[in-house]
Amino acid sequence: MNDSLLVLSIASAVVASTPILFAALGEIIANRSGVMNLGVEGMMLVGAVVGFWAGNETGSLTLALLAGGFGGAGLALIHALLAVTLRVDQTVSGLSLVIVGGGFSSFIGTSGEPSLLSAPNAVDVVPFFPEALRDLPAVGPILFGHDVVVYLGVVAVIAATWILNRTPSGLSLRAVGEDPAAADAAGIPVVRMRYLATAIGGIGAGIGGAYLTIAIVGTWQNGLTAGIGWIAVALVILAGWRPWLALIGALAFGGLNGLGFTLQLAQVDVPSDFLKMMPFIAAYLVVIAVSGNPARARRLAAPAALAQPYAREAR
Amino acid sequence: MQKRPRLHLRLLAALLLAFALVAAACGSDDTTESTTETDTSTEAEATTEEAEADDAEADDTETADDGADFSDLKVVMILDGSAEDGGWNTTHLNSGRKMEAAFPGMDFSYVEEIEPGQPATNAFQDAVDAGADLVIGTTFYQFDMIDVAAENPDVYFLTWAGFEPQDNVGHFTQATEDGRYMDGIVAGSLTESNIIGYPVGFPFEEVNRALNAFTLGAQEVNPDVEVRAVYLNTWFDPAIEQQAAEALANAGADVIAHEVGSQVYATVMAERGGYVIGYTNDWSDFEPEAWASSFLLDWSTYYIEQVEAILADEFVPGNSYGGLAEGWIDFAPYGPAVTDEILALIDERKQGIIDGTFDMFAGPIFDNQGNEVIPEGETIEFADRNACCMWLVDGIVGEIPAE
Repeated sequence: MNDSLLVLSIASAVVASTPILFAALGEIIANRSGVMNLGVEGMMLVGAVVGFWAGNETGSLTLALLAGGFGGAGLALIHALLAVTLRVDQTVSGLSLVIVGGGFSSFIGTSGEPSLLSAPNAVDVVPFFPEALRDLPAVGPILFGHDVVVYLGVVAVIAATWILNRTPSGLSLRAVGEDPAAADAAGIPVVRMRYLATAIGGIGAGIGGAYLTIAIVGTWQNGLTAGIGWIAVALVILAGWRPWLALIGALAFGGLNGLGFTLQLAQVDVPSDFLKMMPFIAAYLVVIAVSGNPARARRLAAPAALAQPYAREAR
Repeated sequence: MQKRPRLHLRLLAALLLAFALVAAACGSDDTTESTTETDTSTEAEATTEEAEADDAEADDTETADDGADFSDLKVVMILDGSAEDGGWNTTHLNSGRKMEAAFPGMDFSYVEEIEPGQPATNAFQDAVDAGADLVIGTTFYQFDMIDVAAENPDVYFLTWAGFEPQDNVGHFTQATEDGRYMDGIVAGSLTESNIIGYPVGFPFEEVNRALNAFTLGAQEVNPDVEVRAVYLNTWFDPAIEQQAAEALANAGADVIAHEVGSQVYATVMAERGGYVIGYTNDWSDFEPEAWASSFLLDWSTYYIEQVEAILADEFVPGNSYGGLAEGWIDFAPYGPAVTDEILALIDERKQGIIDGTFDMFAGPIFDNQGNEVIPEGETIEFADRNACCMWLVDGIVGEIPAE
């Protein structure tokens, strides 16, 4: 049973969803503080190259993910500087970040001697649970067959939900994203909050990129995210800025890519271009559904001050 | 408290951004001597680099007459991807360097990451403006350079896979099937499950032809073999490739022959104790236990022939199609699992193709829908193969996706 196509497909969807999940969680935190960062793709690429390099130097998965997170955060801080402090258009700044991140990662990855291209993966990624659990029928491969990072993704969802909803800092963060002026009046440091949230967004994307290259692809390649960052951006909208919904959405999108091949192998012809559009169509549908319904809109709508720069004296 | 950003902060931001852009715009090892404008492409990464002669000099077997000086000859190569992609473009660049070595003093340079479309048109025009005698394009640039070629009859052009005839343009396409048949023999001999995975990019003739040749090769040594083809609709997307590799392995494939794409297939096969067959790349050092084989391309024969023809004023326009006999196909080192018996068979088949005594497309050949596509006693002539195939041979499980 554990080698049936269905079980294995679901198990590989779980792994494939992990980088999307980390990137989306980071973007949710950033968005909830009012900072829109479209540069997820660029931050993932930088996270990937820095993470792979660190993994190669140290052989440690932890250090590789940390380095990836730092790489993503570094790029995110450029965005914070532009978007929060200098108050440039966040869309423009975010899009620039994709190009800068892509170029920068390519530069780092190919300029070393020897370059990271076709460098072997020095990090051993091992399953987290003992073999007895992994061998359980069906649930073994699907729930227990993965490395620690997959489970950390779930922990991160719980942590993000708890922080956003149950802690004073989470409340402050959301206040900054809904009404920065009121938050400012209440003594919440708006700028510092937004910097922090943007950096967390970068860490999420960076970890996602590092995980993608080390655990999934197994080598570093130029431009290896190939659009996953954009799927994460769509997912954030789709999930209505809720971490739990992002988890479900990430699993669905992670499964979608593999679904095309599973269907082809089962001799069912579904155009894979169509499957690739699905995340974005789904995001459209949610936006449309939310826009017509005030009650739903309140629960799943974007933070009120999303993408709006805050200037105290401009009130 | 005044929160307005002060001037030096703006300056810092501007500097940071400028630095980032410069870092993005600089390729790996720019030298000062750029020969072509860098605005040939909208891509920030596009760079112009003077090709390094070091690599080429090591390989001077084809050096022309001693003492000859070809410093009047300027050749610009236009690459559609990174020169360091380790595959298609690296192969072209290496072939270009062999050509450079064959004509001492030749002024050879390249531009990389030039996407088809307007960027390519600009790149071809810039190369002509910079005084190039010969411009080489490595992908399907035909419609991007057709006007440039028409307006500059004194400049010669070589571009991959074109068909519109122009007097100063040579098109070239590789007979992938000559290499792929040998890879198929290897795969057929290695599989124990009798299932071979074959992730394909887009459903083009050339791609299907390679897949057919591969399957015929596998069937020669293993008549029961089943080749599972899945079309990815992308040339490069490691995350999708990983899922395709997993899906194929889950379906029982213990050998995967990939197309263009990344090393993720090798990673997946190494994990599962299977084998990987590359595509125009010598990746034998990466996951060496899983490595089986790969055909390679070498364009230098064609480049050198055409440069000699230009010098003799006998340029050959139109399409050139080359395989083993023409010296365009080579092979990477075989993996440790490939037996001597199989290596001997491959040598025999290679020699047969070169001598013309072996024809992989000799009929009868059936497609996987049950139609006889090549009747008994017939074949596809070598010159016509370029137009084949929009069918898949019997033994391939998979369908060409509808347009």
